[in-house]
Amino acid sequence: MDRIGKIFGRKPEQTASLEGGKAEPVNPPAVEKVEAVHEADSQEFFGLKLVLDTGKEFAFTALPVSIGRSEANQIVIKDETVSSSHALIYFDDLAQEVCILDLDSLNGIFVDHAPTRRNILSDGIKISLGAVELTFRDTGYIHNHQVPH
Amino acid sequence: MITCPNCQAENRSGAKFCKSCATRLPDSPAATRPLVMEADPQNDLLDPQTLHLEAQTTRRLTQDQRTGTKPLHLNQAFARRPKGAIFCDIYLYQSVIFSNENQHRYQVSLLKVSDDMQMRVCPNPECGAIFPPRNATPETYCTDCGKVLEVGGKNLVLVESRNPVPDNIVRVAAKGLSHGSVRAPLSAFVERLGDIPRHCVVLPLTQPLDSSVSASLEKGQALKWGISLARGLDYMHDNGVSFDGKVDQTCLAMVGERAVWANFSHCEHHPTGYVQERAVDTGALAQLIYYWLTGRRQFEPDTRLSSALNQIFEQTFAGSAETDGLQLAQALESALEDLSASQAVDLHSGRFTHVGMVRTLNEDSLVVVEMNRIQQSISRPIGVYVVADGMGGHAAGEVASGLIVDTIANKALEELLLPQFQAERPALSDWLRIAVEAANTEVFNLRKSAGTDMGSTMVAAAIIGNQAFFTHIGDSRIYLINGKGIKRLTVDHSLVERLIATHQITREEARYHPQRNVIYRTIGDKPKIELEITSLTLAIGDNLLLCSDGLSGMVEDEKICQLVLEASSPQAAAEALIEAANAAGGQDNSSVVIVKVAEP
Repeated sequence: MDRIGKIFGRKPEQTASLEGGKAEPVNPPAVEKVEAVHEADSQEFFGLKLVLDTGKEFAFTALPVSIGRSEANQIVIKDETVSSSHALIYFDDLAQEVCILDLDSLNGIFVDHAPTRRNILSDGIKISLGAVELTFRDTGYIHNHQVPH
Repeated sequence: MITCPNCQAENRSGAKFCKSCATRLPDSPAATRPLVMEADPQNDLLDPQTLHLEAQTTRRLTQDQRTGTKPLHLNQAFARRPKGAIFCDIYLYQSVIFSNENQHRYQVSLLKVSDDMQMRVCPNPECGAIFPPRNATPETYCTDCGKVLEVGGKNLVLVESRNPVPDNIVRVAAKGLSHGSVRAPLSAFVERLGDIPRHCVVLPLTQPLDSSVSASLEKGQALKWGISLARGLDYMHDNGVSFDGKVDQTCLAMVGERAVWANFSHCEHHPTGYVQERAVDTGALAQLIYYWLTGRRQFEPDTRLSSALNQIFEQTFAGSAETDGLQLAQALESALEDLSASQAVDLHSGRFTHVGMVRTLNEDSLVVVEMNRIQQSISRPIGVYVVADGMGGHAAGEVASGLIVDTIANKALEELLLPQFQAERPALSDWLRIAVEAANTEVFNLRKSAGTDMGSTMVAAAIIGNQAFFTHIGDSRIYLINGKGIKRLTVDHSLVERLIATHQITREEARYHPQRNVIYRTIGDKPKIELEITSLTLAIGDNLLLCSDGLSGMVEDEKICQLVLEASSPQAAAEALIEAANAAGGQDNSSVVIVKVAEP
């Protein structure tokens, strides 16, 4: 049954089993390995950027992008308060916005210093993962292919 | 469950209209109510723990994957969420209503989920019932008032707290109570932020009920609140929710200008899915209504209340009443009718009908039955007004419409006017329903025996004092005309009105739609008729216009309004309207009845 149906306690069709209350774990969206994450080298870059306190920038032009301590992530943050697979930045179909999702990390995620699990991102927002703070920059609407020329 | 006699859809107990076809469902009076258990294996019999939904949409990481991460305990403070937060994947943060160290209340809206997962609301301001997606086949019509539902979920409240949501709230949320005077929790879930659980309940948006508001209620307003709350209580009982007598103002909140059931913290859940013992809650509600009416917590006979009402309250306070919510609602309704009947108004009516400029046979019929008794200068008018537009050609249409007005006129004399002197008159809304149903049965039987395709549309109004009840079938209409303008009170049972209601065509396009004459509900078509009875409180200066489509199809609403307001009397107005219809072409028979509410 659709997970939204479960939120509303929606009854499955009669053939379904009685264990209607428990949500089945849903795998996170398949993360494509994108080559788009790179250090921004140009001022005219259009796309999404994450800027560390140190001034280091991660720029990317495709979604989704995973963030964590392990090398398997597209954005790797070597900090012991960041979980190995900590968060995912993706385009949310329901909200029609770029969102961040906590991948059930130990220390959670914070947006503008408030705790959250799934959150819409807008330009200039501060994201905290553990003790690390990043600034999110959206300069070009890559997510719906409206790259200005 | 109530099975719809028309489409066989299964409706939940307490529904008044079918969710799939808006057919009026049979009432189940207390005496004939089934004692069968309607336990729902998905809800009533499950351990409540299984209903606590973990909003877990991502794979939970095992402890191994977390090792090596240093805990910061950032989440212990239970801070509130930021702008743009999405709760449980589908609820979007709009604003904060209230916040402290243990609880946050947010206003949220439902994101654009797929159509069958939408939350639906009744657009009728007097109803507003909410239908969360609970069944595989979503509701199309409001089961409480029969209106076409709209997509909703824009104004919701999400309460997020440290402590788990009580089991009874989770149960009520899982049931999904949908009633005009019930604003029950819609969903309950747990969300984890960095390992700290946050317990959430989503509620419809309501305003708190201030005790100064309920203390200064007008008598009529208190009765109206009581009627809708009593009906809502009966609906909850039908669905296995009771309050165990703990009914007081804290159970209620405001929606617009009325009170609704909104706080379920004291509610009890009945595993049978049905509440047998209803008198305790009903009695507690009656005591609350008595307090609104009189300002007293202890019973004393009150001369300002009718003897029937005094009797109910007396039994309630003595603890000997055996009433359920429906019986209480009916008692309050007749009290409200009596109250408004004593408002001094007089009714003046005019009527006129014409065959038109094209046809040779007038298939329309109309009847006016009025009585006005004035004693000690107090006027108590009572009137019944019917316009019927017959169909089926010679020896059919005019027979059908004539039979309708005769049947209703007969019933008006026997059941309304004569008993009026004995104070044993039935409630007017019930009477109107029975009279129109009887007319339908007569026409249906005659059509069967005559073997013709006779049928009729109809509009009927029954008025006592300033309280009007009306109903219609097909495309005969009723308008309210006063200094503020003209307002159509009925929605035609026609194809084009359905297309307008579902936003497929505009009202302007409907005027020229090739199938604008197609109607889907007529008198005499089926053995049982679906009726919507609407009530209206009239003010001095109001005009009620009942008309066949021979008028409304030929003359624009603004022109109708102007002619009625400019006429010297209701009769002059009726004649002027028919003249205008004929001047515009007179394509069909046209008939009008006008009732003007005047100072006595």
